[in-house]
Amino acid sequence: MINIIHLGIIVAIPTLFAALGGIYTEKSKVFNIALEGILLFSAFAAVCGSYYFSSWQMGIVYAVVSSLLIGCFFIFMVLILKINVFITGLLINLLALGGTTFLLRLLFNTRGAFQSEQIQALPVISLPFLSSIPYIGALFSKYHILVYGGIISAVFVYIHIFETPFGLRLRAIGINNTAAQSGGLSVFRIKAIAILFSSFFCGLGGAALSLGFVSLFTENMSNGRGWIALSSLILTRANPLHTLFIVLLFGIFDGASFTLQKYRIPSEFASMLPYIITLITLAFYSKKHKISYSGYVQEL
Amino acid sequence: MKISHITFFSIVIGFICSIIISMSFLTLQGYNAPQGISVLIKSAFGSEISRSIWMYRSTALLLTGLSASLIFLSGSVNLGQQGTLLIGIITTLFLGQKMTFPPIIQVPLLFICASLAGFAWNSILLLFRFKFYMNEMIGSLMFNFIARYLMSFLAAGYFLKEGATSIQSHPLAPSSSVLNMVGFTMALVIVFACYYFLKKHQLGYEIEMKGQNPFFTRLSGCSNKKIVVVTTLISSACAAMAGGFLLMGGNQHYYVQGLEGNFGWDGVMMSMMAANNILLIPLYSLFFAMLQTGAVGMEVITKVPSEFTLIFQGITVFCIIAAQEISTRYLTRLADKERQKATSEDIQ
Repeated sequence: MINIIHLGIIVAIPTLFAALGGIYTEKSKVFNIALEGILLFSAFAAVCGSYYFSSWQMGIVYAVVSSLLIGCFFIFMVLILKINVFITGLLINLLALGGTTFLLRLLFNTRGAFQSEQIQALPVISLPFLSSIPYIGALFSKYHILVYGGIISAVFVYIHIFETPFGLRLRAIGINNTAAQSGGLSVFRIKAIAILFSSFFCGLGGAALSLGFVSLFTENMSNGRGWIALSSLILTRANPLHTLFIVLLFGIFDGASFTLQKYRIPSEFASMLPYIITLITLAFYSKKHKISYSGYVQEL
Repeated sequence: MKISHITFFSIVIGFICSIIISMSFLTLQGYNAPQGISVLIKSAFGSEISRSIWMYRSTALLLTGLSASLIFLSGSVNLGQQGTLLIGIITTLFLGQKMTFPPIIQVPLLFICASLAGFAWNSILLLFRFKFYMNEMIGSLMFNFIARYLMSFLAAGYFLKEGATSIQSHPLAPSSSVLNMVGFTMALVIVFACYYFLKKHQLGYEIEMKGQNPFFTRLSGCSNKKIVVVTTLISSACAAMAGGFLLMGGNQHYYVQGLEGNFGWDGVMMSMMAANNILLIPLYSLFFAMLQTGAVGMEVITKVPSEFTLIFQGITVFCIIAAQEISTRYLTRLADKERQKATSEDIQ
């Protein structure tokens, strides 16, 4: 059981980072569906950095820089050219999928997956006191550093959005764009910062994805994590701490699917589990709160 | 039938920009760009076989593009084309192996069954939407993943051919094959039929109006639920038929891993480029299919990796969307200015 939770937490971390990134854009009402693409591309960049310099620090730097660059592209498209956010997000996802496949071929001359001795994974550390507690000590030990980083980030995002002037402005823009503008806020600047924060966290998620659990890159590695992140933050109405909880829960189900394979349950059904659970939770949650993003309730 | 001059010009400009950007990209990587592009085009049209493959791919793209366009036109954001396509493949594979009617019955029957299965699949989503007010986009994405794992489960279990070294199914009954040319013509007819349905039929008009303003249609006494159901029916039928055609068309009438490709998502991208204009879908699907078909030939002759076409696709989508957006905005501003000028002259 402890093992399942342990594995689940590690599996959940990339999704958690993507969800935290999504919270910034969700709060400022920029419907960011590019999480998946940014996650994928930064996972690739992390592998590149780690491979060329044989150091995980450079991996993280590469991941974050590339994700910020994509964030700049997003800002250019959405805030300057004023192209539909939805289309931009899909375009970034498409370009990330094509781009990583192409670069994988161009730089490393492989197809499908890239693995090398030179790629250095994130260091694994244990917390000094908590890990010596009997039974549950294993829950607090032997994680790579971004796991701790992710949980601290969730708290940071919570404070940043709910307790600081910037967070207040961000939420104000999300609630009423025009009112915030007439109140003297620069909507462009705050939205741009929100998008950059969002990309920054996705970049960390990408690094955790390709250098954390395994140290390799495979084609379409993110495999829907960005979408799960998006659905979990819609579920929790973009509250970072609730998101943390739900993402870890999904992660544990995902981790359990590795274990389920031992009990002759087909691995495909085990892999389906997180999606089915998202679907059911979303259905009941939507019914309860009538969250209707396109105004379904009035529309139908 | 008309495509406005502005759309036409922005498409041309978008194409030119995308070719310039991709060629400079190739040159920066040290490849011979003009040769690469010309070989890409030549190897897509050069031989009888490649033209047939080109037709095959563009049929699937036409159908998925139409499916995505219709559903976006009605104001729903359903991204489940890839999943519906897989359901179409599963149904066709299952029934195509069992049934052995003469081709004239078999082929239409298989298409109809696939369409119905696609609709049944999407109606679960509709149920979620009507009963639980669920966000349709997230739901359809989850359905995509579920369909994908269902396909890989069935392909590795139920459909698996004994003694096969890779994942491969038994072929369909011989009577269920369709010529690529016939399939392509059928898809074109469906596109034009949908166009006339939208423009000339009352329900089609209601669908378009609901996309622009759902409250307007409700106020005018249309049932929005009915519109949603009809659009989902047509759209999922198209996507599922694309899946069925992937099996029935072409040369090999069995499932191999990766047969479904990325057709559903390409369809979504094409509908984004077409911006609700269904008549543009054939143009884009022919172009995308050309890129995908010529990729291998380009790699063999000029050493440009075939994955380059994925980038080329992305750049084209970007350029065309940007060109359309900018030209529309510029013209609106121009019109606004003229109107202001006219008003101020009136006052004077």
